[in-house]
Amino acid sequence: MTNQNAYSFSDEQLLAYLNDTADDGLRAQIDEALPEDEALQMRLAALDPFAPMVADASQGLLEKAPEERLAGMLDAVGTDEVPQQDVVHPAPVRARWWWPLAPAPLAVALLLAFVGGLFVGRDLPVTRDPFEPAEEEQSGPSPWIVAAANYMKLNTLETFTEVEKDRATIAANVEVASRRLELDLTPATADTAPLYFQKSEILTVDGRPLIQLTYLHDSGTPVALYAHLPTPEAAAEVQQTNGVIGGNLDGVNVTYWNNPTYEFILLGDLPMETLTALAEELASRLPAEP
Amino acid sequence: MKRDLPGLLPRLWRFAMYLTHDGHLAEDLVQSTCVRAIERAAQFAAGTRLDSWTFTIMASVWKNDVRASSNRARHLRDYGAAMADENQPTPELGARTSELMAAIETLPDGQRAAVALVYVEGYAYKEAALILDIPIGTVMSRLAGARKALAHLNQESTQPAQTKGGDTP
Repeated sequence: MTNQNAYSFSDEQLLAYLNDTADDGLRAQIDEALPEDEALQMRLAALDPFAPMVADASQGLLEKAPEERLAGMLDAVGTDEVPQQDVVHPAPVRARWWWPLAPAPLAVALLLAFVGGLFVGRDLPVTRDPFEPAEEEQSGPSPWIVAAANYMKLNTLETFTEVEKDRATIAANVEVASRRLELDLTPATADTAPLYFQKSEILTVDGRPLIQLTYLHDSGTPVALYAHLPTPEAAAEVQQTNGVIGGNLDGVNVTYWNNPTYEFILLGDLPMETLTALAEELASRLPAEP
Repeated sequence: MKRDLPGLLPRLWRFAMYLTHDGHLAEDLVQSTCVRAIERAAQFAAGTRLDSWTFTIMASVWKNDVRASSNRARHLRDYGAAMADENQPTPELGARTSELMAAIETLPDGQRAAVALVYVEGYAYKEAALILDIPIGTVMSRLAGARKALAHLNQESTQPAQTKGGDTP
């Protein structure tokens, strides 16, 4: 408890505190009084010369908010009003299926371990392992794979499955994604058991397109396909895999395949044989070239 | 819940911009925040402030889920056709604003968050402490650090501010 109150300090003293010119004794007194003295807090806030300066500058930023797009995003995300039966093949799987037990730093570490040498699938016959660090990034894997993995962490089962109900809009989104990737993704969006397409999302990594197509498997497991268009120079460094290869990351299976222009990964908590078969099916549907 | 969120979106986006300083990551963060808010709608206490509650969620998402990976995933961007960089704090915001925003971007994460909540959003120190889940003294020390780092901007702006009164029509 402190004996100080808001009126024990003059404005000059409070300004000195704010401007970091108060002596140690005064500073200690104010620091002691502040947590419990709301009047003092208000006086300090009112005297703070930075508040109006930053607030004024930030008003312009507020006016730049992409309100329409944010509202559309809000419409597209989960709702507490949409009946659950609207979700395709709902299943009581854990909401955060990606690294479900690991905090983010550990998850990243696990990813690095995975791509750095614990990949238990086939050896990658590539000049630059797609899961290995880029030359300028010795401590981590290819940025687009990390970006895709990190992005998955932001999703819950609900965000995977709560999709635009208008199929025409979904198809239009796929068309936009296809144009961005310069690859027709439509064949990969056909609802064919056991994989049911949910939605597409357009991302970029280092300025290069990364398209996410999400699915629900018959088992209720979310599955995501990421299609990446590297620069021609980067693509030239990646040796062709001649098919789908797979591995395991923190309990989640991952498959990878490529062609001279594109790279793909399919992620999902499914048996490797199942995931590989799905990847091979999707790979066969997608055209190899723009 | 979903009916009440649209009005907060611009502020949430602005706070996300301060946290991420990337327009596209900011939108991702807003989206994640909205998802969490909707999922946890039952936990929201009626009669309390929805804005504080959602800002708390955003700070938590940022702290726990996004920040650790953002350095490596910082280039992950939502790219829709209408998503050009027009939403970035470009020079069209004004040279003064851009200078300030650029200076704020250089602050450590914790200072930037405190600046955004107290100076930009106008939260009291105590509210900012609750949102960031830190002691009020930490809020003050972060603001003090930010003020120190931004002091040169304040000194530059003080002179014209003092002479501005007579020019007001």
